[in-house]
Amino acid sequence: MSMYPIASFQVGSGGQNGDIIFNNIPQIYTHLHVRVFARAPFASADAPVGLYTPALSGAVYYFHGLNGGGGGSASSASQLTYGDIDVQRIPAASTASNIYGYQTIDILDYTNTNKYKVVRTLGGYDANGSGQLHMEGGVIPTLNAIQSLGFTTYGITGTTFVAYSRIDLYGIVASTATGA
Amino acid sequence: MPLPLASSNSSPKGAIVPIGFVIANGSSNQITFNNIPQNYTDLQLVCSMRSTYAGTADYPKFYYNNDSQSGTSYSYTRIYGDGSGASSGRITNSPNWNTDLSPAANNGAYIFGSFKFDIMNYSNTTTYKGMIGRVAVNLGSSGYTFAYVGTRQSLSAITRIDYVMGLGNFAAGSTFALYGIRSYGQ
Repeated sequence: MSMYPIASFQVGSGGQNGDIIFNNIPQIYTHLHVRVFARAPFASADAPVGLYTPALSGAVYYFHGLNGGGGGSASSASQLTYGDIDVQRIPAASTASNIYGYQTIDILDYTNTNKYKVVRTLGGYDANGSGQLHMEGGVIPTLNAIQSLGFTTYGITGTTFVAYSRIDLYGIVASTATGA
Repeated sequence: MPLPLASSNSSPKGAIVPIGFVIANGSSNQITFNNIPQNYTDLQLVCSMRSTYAGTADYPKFYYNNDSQSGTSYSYTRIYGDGSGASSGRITNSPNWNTDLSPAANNGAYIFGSFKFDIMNYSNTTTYKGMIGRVAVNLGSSGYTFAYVGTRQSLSAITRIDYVMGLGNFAAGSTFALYGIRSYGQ
């Protein structure tokens, strides 16, 4: 397995207006890997990051997760959502400044036209006494190859991610198949 | 896993670049990666470790930049499972990241724990530094898996990582691999 950089989006000093979208994703890799370092501007402790493919307007995305809030039992959640997969929380304006959320995301067999696309994530944020950790698994319900990916917070227009947020997209190459 | 060097002439260049690799010989409880290059976006630390401590568990921890071990800038939130349930916990105001559990000398021979940490935006001096971690230890009849998300509250770039075993030494054959992860354009 080898990993190659495809694209990098760094939010400028004024914040990101609207979603972050990667278009024209090369179709030469086996899997995609995404690394998120982000924070939201909203007046709350945290906010969800949603992953979607813009070509799949109106689709129902499914995901489930194992979540921890730092105390007691970990919880399991099974959800479906319209419009994106929540890869879960990044800190927002009422969390101490300079703290960002972190996600690593894998999208398997993204060019395969015979299966829906599996998404798995690990990440969250920690603010020294608060925070959340999420392990998510989800499905992008399409047989089409994934050619674009979007990242949103609450699916809103306006500022979605604050300055110094970044999302990096990578392609992962598998070796040649050697048999069943 | 072949890891194409970014400095090679191949095109496209690989994203994961080996920086350092240490194999423990059993005589030290500490390994250090120093003078870490600052030209990547993230770091990834991948370890296979075991302790020489005469017990069934030891408690390894790591920290950056030779930080004073009386400091308070590390915290994490975690989830973990032991085969019978899943729980969540956290540490706060810590001088390091206690990465829970390593097999030790009284566990079966050949059993090592697996530790992997993504260290996010390590060279950036405008934000605190992030960590996403996974630890897996299987002792045969018992075992544990941990996941972490942590923040080190410092704007300083990370130039050094120290990993320290709590009670014993790192057993011979323990390995520590540090990689740099390039972004597009780096």
